[in-house]
Amino acid sequence: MLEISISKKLLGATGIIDFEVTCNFEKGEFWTIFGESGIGKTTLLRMIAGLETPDNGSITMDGEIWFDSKKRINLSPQKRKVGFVFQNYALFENMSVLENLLFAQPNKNITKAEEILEVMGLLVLKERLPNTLSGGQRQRVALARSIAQEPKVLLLDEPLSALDAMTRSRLQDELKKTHEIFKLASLMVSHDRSEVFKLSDQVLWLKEGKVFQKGKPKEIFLSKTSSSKFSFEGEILDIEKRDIIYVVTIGIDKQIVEVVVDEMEVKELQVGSIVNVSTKAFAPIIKVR
Amino acid sequence: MNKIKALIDTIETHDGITRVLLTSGNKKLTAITLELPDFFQIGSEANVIFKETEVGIAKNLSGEISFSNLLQGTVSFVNKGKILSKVNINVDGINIGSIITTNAVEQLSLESGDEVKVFIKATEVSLEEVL
Amino acid sequence: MSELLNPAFWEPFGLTIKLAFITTLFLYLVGIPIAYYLAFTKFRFRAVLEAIIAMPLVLPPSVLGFYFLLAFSQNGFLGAFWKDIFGHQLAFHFDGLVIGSIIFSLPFMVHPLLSGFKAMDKFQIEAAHTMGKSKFQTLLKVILPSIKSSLATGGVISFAHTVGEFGVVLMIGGNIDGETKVASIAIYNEVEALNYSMAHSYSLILFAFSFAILWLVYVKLGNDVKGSFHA
Repeated sequence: MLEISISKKLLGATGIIDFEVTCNFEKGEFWTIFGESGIGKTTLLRMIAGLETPDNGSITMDGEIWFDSKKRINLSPQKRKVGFVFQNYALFENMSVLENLLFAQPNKNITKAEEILEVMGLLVLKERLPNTLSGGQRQRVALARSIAQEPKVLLLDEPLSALDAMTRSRLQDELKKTHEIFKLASLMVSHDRSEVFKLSDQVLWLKEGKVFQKGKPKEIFLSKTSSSKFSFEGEILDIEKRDIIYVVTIGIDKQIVEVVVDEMEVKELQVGSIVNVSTKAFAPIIKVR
Repeated sequence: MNKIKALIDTIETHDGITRVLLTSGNKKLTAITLELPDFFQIGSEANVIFKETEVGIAKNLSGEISFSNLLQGTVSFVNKGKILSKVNINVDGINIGSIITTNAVEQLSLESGDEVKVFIKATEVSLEEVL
Repeated sequence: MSELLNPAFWEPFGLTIKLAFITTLFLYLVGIPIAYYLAFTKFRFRAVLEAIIAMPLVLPPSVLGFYFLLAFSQNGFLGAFWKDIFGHQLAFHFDGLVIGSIIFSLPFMVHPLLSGFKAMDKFQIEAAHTMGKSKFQTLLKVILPSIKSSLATGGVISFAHTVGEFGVVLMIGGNIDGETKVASIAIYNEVEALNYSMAHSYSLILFAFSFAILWLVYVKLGNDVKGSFHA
């Protein structure tokens, strides 16, 4: 189990943030660190990896102290055994796919490395250099490489954010599958709700540097302030008066929807505002295409 | 959007479907939802919300009706459009808006001062935490 | 053209190449740690160190040469030290030329390496650290292979710059056949002796040689290098 209780002053987009997080992560659980950008999600991963130092607190992995400000212990990243999948994947461009894995292994073992590549469908690419791979393949190699490290905890910093929607959805399935095979404690940073929902067992929702909520994604995302079950975030693109009603056009992800509102409500709405669109689970109609 | 602050009286759950009974003044309200978030408890306050387009109006209603939410009020103002009209109804000092067809307004010959009954289907009623 | 067949004619070129080769080799050994330190370490007097390294770019070679001469002579601190160990002073000796050239060409090695290190993807370095690799292993296996073009640039430019060196060599090396008389000095000698045809021969060969190096650089390394000449 990874036990974290740390604080650090961060320079965020809106000034100094008092980052303060306490949380325990069990082995085999897939956690998502969720929240707006610039509130220290990535920094949290980096502090766990030892790439940044908290001001105060402690980080303990299976009883082994990685960081303790009181005892003045701060293990280097080399000694912590974390697998880190960076946003840009950080593949070693001068090494082939297989060499990337061999370099990552604590003890070079070609058979093991090839097994991992096999499981992830990368074996045919083993001789290729990273710059000849597609974005999705690079991502998978990065994941395979971090697994080859035999880490105690896997840290994923928005691993799918650089990919197109199709590839992302496919890799989400694959990430889930990979997690189920290797059963590592995994922490992923994401601000994509559907991704969080699809992948994670637990969510750590950060707001302004503090834990806002933690728990199962269903409990957290569906029970925010209303009992609505059909709920999306979107941006108002247009507001138009028709007859005595108003039609608000809202962009939700890549879809555009129209919602009818009353003149009293329209006063609070502005083009460009981010809004929550919801309806009851009873109203939507589902048709098979 | 119509919003009525009410007190939760009863929560009844069966098979993941929940019926919530609420009181606001002398009005009884009912909401049907799937799982109910934890912060809705018996005795706690909640906003009962529903869209104007889900509100029906009846004049001189007799007989029985399946709608769980039935309120008595007075028409305070009618804003007639070509196809749709907005009718404002005063229910014990709370304004309830209803958007119905202009055709219906004319059929019922709705005017301000009319005594009407207002009804909303329980499955169209949402509950919101009072913040 | 009979002089072209005389081995004594070629000696200064041999010396020039030898000097440039050894200088470049040592510049790698010195330049990589310095550039690494400048790129990845935070310290207070960075600007001072950077200014010192860049000094040879602006100082007249004679000034540098003059101070080298003082330091390298038997009474100078380096010269005396060298004599204790190797039995000869540094001034008027090939070793002195090498040390002078290393210092004189240092910015031409450090600057390309520094920009290479700075452009390096930091996440690759951090990834290697999380894989348990030490800083030295990371430098060897990850960083240096990634900045190959900077390494090539630094090497070629340092080499070319050493070939073209004159002032410093003249000041500290004097003019000893087979020891310190490099090609650029040989030209100077021939001109002094009003021996213009010899001066022509030396100059033309040096001209052609320098052009060949630069042409190779532009063909092989392209834009990576060009910028560094304006350093």
